[in-house]
Amino acid sequence: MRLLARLALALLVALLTLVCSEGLHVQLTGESLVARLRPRGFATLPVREVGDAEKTLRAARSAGAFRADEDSAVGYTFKRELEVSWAGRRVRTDALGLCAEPPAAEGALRLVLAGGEQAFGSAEPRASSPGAVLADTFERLRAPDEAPIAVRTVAVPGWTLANTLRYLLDRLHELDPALVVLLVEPDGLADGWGVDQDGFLVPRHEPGSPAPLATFRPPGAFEARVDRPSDGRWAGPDPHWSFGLGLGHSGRARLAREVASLATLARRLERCGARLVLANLDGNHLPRILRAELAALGVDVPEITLAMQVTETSVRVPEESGWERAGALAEHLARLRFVLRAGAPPLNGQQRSPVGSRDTVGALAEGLHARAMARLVARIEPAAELGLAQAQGGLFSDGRLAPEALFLLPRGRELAGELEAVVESPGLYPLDFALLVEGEPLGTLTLAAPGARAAFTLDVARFQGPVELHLVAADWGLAEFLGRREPLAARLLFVESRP
Amino acid sequence: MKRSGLLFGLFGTLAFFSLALPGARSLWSVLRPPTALPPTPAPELLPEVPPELGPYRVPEERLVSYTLRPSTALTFREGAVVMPLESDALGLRRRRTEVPPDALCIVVLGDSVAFGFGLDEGGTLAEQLERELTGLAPTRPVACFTVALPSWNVDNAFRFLLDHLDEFRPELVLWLPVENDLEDGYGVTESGDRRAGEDPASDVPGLHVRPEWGFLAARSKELGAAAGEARLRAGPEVLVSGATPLSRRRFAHAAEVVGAAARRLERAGARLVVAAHQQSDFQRELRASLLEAGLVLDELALFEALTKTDSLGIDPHPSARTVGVMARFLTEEFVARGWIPGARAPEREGLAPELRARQAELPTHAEALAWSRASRARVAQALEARIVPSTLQGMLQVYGGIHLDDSLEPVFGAALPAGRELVVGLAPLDDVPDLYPLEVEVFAQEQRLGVLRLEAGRACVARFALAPRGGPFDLVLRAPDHVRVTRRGQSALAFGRLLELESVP
Repeated sequence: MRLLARLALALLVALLTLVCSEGLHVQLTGESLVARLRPRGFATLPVREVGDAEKTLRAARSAGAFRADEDSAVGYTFKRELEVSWAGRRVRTDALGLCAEPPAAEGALRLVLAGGEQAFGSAEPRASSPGAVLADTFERLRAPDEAPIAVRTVAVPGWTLANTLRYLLDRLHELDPALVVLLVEPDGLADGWGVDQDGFLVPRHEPGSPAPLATFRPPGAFEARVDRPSDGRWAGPDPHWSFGLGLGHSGRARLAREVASLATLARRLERCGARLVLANLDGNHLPRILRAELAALGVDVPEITLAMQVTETSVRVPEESGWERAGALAEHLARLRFVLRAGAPPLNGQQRSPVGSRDTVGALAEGLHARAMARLVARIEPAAELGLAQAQGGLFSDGRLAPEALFLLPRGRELAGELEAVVESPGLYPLDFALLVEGEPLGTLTLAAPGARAAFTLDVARFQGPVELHLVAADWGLAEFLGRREPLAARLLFVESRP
Repeated sequence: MKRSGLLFGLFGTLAFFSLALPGARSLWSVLRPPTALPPTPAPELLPEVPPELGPYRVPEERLVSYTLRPSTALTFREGAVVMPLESDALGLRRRRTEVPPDALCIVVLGDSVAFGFGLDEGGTLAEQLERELTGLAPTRPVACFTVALPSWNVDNAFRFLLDHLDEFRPELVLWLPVENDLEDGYGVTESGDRRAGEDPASDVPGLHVRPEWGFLAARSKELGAAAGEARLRAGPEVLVSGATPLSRRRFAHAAEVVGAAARRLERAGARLVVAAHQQSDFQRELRASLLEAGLVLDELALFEALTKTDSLGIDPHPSARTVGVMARFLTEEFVARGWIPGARAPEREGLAPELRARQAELPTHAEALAWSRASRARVAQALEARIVPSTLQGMLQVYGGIHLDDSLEPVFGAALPAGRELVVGLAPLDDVPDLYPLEVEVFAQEQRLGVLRLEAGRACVARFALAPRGGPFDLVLRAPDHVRVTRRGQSALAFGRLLELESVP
């Protein structure tokens, strides 16, 4: 009994000590002593950094083929060191996130074939991809005393010119090329893609874009019909041309950015004793435009045309051209071999480029520019499928507009247009739009209520060339488009340039 | 002797009670059993996200950095906290109960505090608020929604809400602003984890605006005993100060976003209400910025300041108990302002006096603006004239763009006090001689001051004259090229190393 009383007393003293300690702690620090010692509700993990190796392992768990690159200008690569599935094919990838290739032979000269989908090649098996075909040709043409040429394909399907250039610049040391053949594709200046949480490609905003809420790319559903026989309504240059030719504000900015990157790449390669060559597969004009712009910066980059045929499913060399014989391709390949073996001529030197002089290229670019200008149509009307090739981004195939949209129109006295309020969302109206021409804010437009229409007229007489109209909505709603919920602002009825 | 004994006893008793009473109160508040939760409906079978995959998805909306993977059971990990979660079809935390058709809908909008970081479903502000309000027998049932995700910024939160207004149909939107409202949004990796990415709403493309807390922690560890003194010279946290140009632009942008949302919500029949969970300098500056933009919103007072006791302990976010007190404060205000029709007044005794005493007293508009003026002047005065990563000097004045080894991202930004001359010291990276010479563009006082030519193999210091304008200025370094480097097993982009920056008076 006495023991129990002592125990009770001891407990009471302990309790009072605890209460007083808690009180003292609260008074001194403002914090509870007990709360500090109490176990927590959730499990805890040590704070740690996630390195590349763990990211690679985690990435392998999702279903898609691609990974987001650390450099937003690169956008994405394949997932690293995996066998991924892309377009129904199995692709073995390496540590750089590229299609894995056999190791280069000892002492081989390294040629990098860089680009997007065309350079990657959609052919199955890989032996008929552009890189493999080039490697095979070099091997066949190689004299017994010549060093072998190892071709490394630095390309991922869907890459834009910006993606390819930035990847090359980021990883020049790992690639260590003697020659970079950059296959420039016609849509090289469009916006790139991003990667979603499952490793699939999704539209994303282009870093640094002046219109981050528009995708600088022709409207997908329309794009497939650009090449159909023209009945006049589709008149206008190929939308990719209008980017590449710098006909509008955004196209000019995009072209200037890529030309600067190309010049940087050419100079860095020269410092490494290597060389850059532009190439195209199907005679697109962008390489010529880029060469003309580069020449204006004092950077001379040769250009070649690879006479291959591209089909929807494969890239192959036309049989009739005679693969080993002296045809156009062999000639160009021989030039490549010359460049490879002769070393890098200075960028600003007097040595003549393998194809065309600076003056010739400049004149060609001017000619292309004039032709494209002449083909611009004055009216864009989605419902009538009119002038859609001049929609540079933000237009959906049903005529609805993303929060930002870009249209290219020929020079005129005024720009006129009309929008219709078709998006339903609580409190969305009145909805304001800013109207910018060639990057300058020139007016506003307000859609008063659902179903309402509003027209605008802008004085653009002072602009000397074609103009880019940029529509920017102050607000928007999500609406269904092809089974997805897309941010949409209004419907475009028409926009036209009036003489 | 007897008298002194009596006095001693009296003193002892007083001392005992002065310690025992707050001690007992504190113990009770910590150890009391949790409030009973409403019955949980039978769990719907949701597909489970493997723990190897992250919780986020890329939404269609570019101004929303991410949502949770929709309609899944997933594990959310961040820092020291691991939370099992269920998401709804929109990619938010799933409500545990059905929404009655005639419910008065309240949206709790924000980032991690509104999300209930580290709390189970019953601990979130939305659920605790709904319980409190439902207990007051309003004429209509109340449904509170959590529209928040950790690290969302002001663009992310309001854009998501406006995109889904037709789903929530709120009558009240309660916005809990937090410091990261001013930071850049994130991206999502191919495994559903968060990553630094380009924010389409950023006004400085390429610069990742986010305080360099990781740098401070890592460098402090390296400095060891000297870290304490070094951190004293880290300067004021400029991004949330409103004292520098970029900070002011971010506050103005936030005010613009909030103003546009408030107008749209009003048209949609909803009221936007601001409630700062504590009166930090950021919250005070935000209040002033909203007022400067002519935006007078309903504001409710929560805590004056939170202490460590109010947090999860393993993490600075508020505990369920703290959030419960916030729910009580809000309930009282909602009912007092007549926003909950038919609700009876909550019992004031339900909240301990010492907790009630911690409720903030909101300043008048004039006081708020005066505080902001004084604070901006104070911060401008406190800015370090030099930024030296090796010693941590001025590192809280960095907006972003520096790695743990002092190497710089392609775009770097920081704030410096007014001066006559700007000194920029950079060193090239080792092993990439072909990257150089590199002409790094230097921007300050909203203009391009010139270039610094960085050569391989040697450090470079360049001096630029500053215009005599007075006031702090922002410095941006923009490199035309960069390479990929691997630091501590992580890939990163860099063009050189920062030695020092100085604004010479």
